[in-house]
Amino acid sequence: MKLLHIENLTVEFDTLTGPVRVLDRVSLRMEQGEVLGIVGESGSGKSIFALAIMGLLSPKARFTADYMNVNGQDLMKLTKEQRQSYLAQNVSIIFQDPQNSLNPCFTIGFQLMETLSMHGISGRRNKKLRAIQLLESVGIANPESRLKSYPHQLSGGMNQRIMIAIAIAAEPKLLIADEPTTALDVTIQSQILQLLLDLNRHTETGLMLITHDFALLSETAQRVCVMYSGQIQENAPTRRILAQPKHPYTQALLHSIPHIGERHAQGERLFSLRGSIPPVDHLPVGCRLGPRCPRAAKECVRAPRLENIHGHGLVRCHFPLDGEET
Amino acid sequence: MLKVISRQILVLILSFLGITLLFFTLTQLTPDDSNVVWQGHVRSADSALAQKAIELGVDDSYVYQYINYLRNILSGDFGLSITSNRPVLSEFLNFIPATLELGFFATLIALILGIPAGVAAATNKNTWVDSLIMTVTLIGYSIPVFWWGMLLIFVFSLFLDITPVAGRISFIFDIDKVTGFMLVDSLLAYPKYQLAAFFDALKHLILPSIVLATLPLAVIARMTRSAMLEVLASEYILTAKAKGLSRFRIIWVHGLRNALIPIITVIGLQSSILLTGAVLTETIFAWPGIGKWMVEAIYRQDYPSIQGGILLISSIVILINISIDLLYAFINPRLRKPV
Repeated sequence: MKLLHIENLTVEFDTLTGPVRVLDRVSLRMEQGEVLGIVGESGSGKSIFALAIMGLLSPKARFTADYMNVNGQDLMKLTKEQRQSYLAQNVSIIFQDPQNSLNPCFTIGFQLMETLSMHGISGRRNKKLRAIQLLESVGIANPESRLKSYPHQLSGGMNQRIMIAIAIAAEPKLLIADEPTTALDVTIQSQILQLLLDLNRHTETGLMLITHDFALLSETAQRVCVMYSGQIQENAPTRRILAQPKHPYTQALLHSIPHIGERHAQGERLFSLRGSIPPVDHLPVGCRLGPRCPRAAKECVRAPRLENIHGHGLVRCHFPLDGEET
Repeated sequence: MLKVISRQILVLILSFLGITLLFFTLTQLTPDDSNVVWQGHVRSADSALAQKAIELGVDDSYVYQYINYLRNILSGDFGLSITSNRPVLSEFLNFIPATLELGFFATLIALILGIPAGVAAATNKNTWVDSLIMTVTLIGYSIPVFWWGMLLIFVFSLFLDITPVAGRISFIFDIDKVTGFMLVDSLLAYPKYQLAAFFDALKHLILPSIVLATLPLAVIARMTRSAMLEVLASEYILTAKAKGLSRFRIIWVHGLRNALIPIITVIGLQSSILLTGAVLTETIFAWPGIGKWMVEAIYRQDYPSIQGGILLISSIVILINISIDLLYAFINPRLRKPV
């Protein structure tokens, strides 16, 4: 049984100038307990994707999918209420900015125990014991006194740990982490990441790690899915992508990571793609990377399809890289 | 918390001194010779005027007069009313319960209707519910109080005859004044009239409370809507939804608790509007409160009453605002302990 199986997930927003498609037929599978990385620059639609899975898109969004199976249940066959309650039982999400994801007016204990009562734990004492247990498991010292703290009294790293504690309180099958470390200090980043990976290993929780940082995925994710402009561009096992990216965009992302010890001549520019991601209401004809792609050719005005390359994975490009040019 | 309270007390003292200084200056600037006002006529014998001037100390230096004025106020002496020759303070205490009773019910109506209306508008944004609430509150916001009051009297008292026209209680009831709050006093008179007096007093309260509540209600509803919209767009609401909490809990617990912070501020500001509104409302409904008392004092050029009354009313407004600020610190955990 697949943990996650999505076919052709499309999200559109109605704007004054007509509908705008922010996610274009995204298909994805995840195994039980897998760590999947979703990478792309800001505006590529990766956060919308996470919100779409969780059913948290604004009511203005139009949402369609052929198939959306979470842990053996097709969500498209459920009513809105059934879907929300099923998702709350099976999928948890943590967001980028822990300071804003916790309610500033309630204590940590209140917010944690509130989730516990949603999942069949009753009685103040039971809930408190379980809450302390959870805070301990995410590495918070003095858990009992922390229950009485408010989010603003704690650091960003602490709050993200608490968000994780709230997320795993539901004992989810899938944990979606939407840029979980972006707002944190570098030293805290690796701690939080390690915590998520430990959870994945010990509890068999599938982990979807959404980030713009390829470096973060290289050592954590078994599989990486590269998104650009609302489409999946490449989807393959991490080691294959690192060894030889097939899509020019993936290659550009990998190249743009500055390496420690790498020597740059003074005044030399760091690598980046020309231009910026196109606005969703003004997409280029054909391949969406086209105008920015260093390898664009005449052929690229025709939209490429996501195709399987044997021994690698899925790639959306007319001219996949084969290792000779790099 | 101690720091917050001590700061508020300092604010209280400073604003009180500011007000006394302002009123002291204003009374010095009035065109009438205070002497003449006291005597009630112009052609009084010079010796009588001079006698009174010495008695009042009006020829002393302004600094000395101000210090004297402060000393008297602090010992609770606001002077004698020119018209009734009774102490201003006891006159004030005589009239204030009626106003507090009215203000309390008006605030209650404004909160009980205003907050849910604002929440309903925010959660049904851009639907007919939202437009209806916004339109009605805009009308409530701009309607002149005196006209609105008369309209209600015309419809409900004269035309439908379901509410009394004016006053606090019908003349057939003889209620002893104990607390000054008619609802309480009428209950205290229980065996005499059963509950008839209480319901009669309640009936008299309906129209004036509605009139007085209209403006604050509109302001609170609109503020609640915008505060709620802002809160509902925040990330912690997304977290609450992802937790699978019910819509009711998300809106009324997680949402409203945060939206209350700006709403409380607005409610505090409404208290002064409520007291100015009371002047008009009490005049329309012949409600024997401080608003009506003040208006009459102004007609009669009763300077000690005007001066003392305004000072006491201002003190009440300051006190309300300070308690709101303390409530604010209580409701917003971010203010309680320094980060």
